[in-house]
Amino acid sequence: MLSLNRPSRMKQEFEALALAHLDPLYSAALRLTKNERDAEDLVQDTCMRAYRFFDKFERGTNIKAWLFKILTNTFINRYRRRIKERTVVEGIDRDAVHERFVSRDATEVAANPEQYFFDRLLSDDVLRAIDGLPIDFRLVVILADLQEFSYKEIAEILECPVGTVMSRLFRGRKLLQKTLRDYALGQGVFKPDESSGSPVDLTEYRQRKKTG
Amino acid sequence: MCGEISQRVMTCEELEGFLYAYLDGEFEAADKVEFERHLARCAPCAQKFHLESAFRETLHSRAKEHASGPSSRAPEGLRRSIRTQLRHEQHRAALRSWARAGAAAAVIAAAGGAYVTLRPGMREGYIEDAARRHAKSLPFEVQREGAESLEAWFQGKLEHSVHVPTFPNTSLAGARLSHVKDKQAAYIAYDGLGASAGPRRIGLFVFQDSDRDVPAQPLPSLELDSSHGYNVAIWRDHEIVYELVSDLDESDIRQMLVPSNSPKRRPSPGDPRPTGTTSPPVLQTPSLVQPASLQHSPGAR
Repeated sequence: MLSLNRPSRMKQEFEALALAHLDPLYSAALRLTKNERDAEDLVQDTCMRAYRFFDKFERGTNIKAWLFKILTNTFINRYRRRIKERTVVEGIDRDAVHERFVSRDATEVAANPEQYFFDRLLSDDVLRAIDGLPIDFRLVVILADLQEFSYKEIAEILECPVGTVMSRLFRGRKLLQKTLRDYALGQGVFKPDESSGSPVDLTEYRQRKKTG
Repeated sequence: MCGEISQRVMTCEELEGFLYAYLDGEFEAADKVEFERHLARCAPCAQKFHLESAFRETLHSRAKEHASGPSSRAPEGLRRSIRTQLRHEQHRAALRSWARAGAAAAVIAAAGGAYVTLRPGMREGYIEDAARRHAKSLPFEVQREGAESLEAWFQGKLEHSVHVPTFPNTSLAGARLSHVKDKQAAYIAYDGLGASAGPRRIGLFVFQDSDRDVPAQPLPSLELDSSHGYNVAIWRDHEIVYELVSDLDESDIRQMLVPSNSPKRRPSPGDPRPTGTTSPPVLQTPSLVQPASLQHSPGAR
């Protein structure tokens, strides 16, 4: 009846479960806030909120997804307004990037241009391009490509339908590609790509397949 | 050009829309067959597929590279500060759970069960609450000069009688009914007549603690703590607990409450009880048994 040691047990359990995910939380917070101080504040706020609501966490379910839900909510409610969005190109050392795309062997580029291009991307290029995405797309790209959550988990984290996750991820990745391609365009590695598709609704497709 | 077989199959447009879902492993087996059949027969889609596949792979491998690097690791300072905050939060949670358990504990005690007084951080809760209430500077309910008239005012308003002590270099400012956490308390305010920084408000909470919920010792033993920028001294006289909240230095508080050179003396009704003078503090509750050394004080009953 009197669980006198409950707060202490709860703290131990929380530390064991939640603090194990501190690195991914911090690294996602860095991509969201784009600076270390805000990222630390965000992670700290997230952990304290998570601790206060820890009795609401359903034991045995995905704690990482639960923590990321609190992280994104905290970010959206508290930080988003005061953190300025940077533009895509800002902060990228374009010359340094281009340097890497100047081929010394023209046949290498001709044989497989996209592979040649992708191989020369550094993780910093990719991260900076992600940082330049508008927030809605950035969120799903961070969750899907950096944290490798499933569509269903992302839908739960962001409290939106799976269809929304798919379309944001589609647009987010296309934008990301465009940014990264732009580095190489001037070097003639790529020709501009006019294709502009959009994700197709799976349920709709299946329906059509049945009737069609 | 592509997909003209017996049944209706996935179009190029549909395939492009499904590309990521397929690559992300979110595709159902039934849909996969259609997807792959189209891919096998349509060169432009196959090329698009390989491009997206290479891009996705690059994205993920660079992300992994970065995740294993030092810049994406949570700084040690952050980890430490979270652990510290968790400790504080746990502390507060323990206090809350004790407050909730209070009623139940009384039942156990009444039923004759042995009630062990394990109250982690209980005193801190009383110190924090007293400092918080003192900081509010609520208006007095009574403003009277003398300690006796204040004592008379409290009569019947609280479960216990209130002895209003006087302190050197202070004058009584007023009093009100208050609480410290769940306990009804008398709040008595004094103005310190410190020579240096002008008048300083000193607050004294007096409340009954028959169950000895608050860890406090009788004078001259004195517990000092700080909260909300105030120093809080806490002591008990049998069932009555005193909490003195002020911004005086620790040494001034000790000097005020436990003057090293002047013996404690028991007040008597006949004694003049000047305020704002340099008389030593008189803190004994009249109703309680006095130490033998004080039995012979002038005017003792």
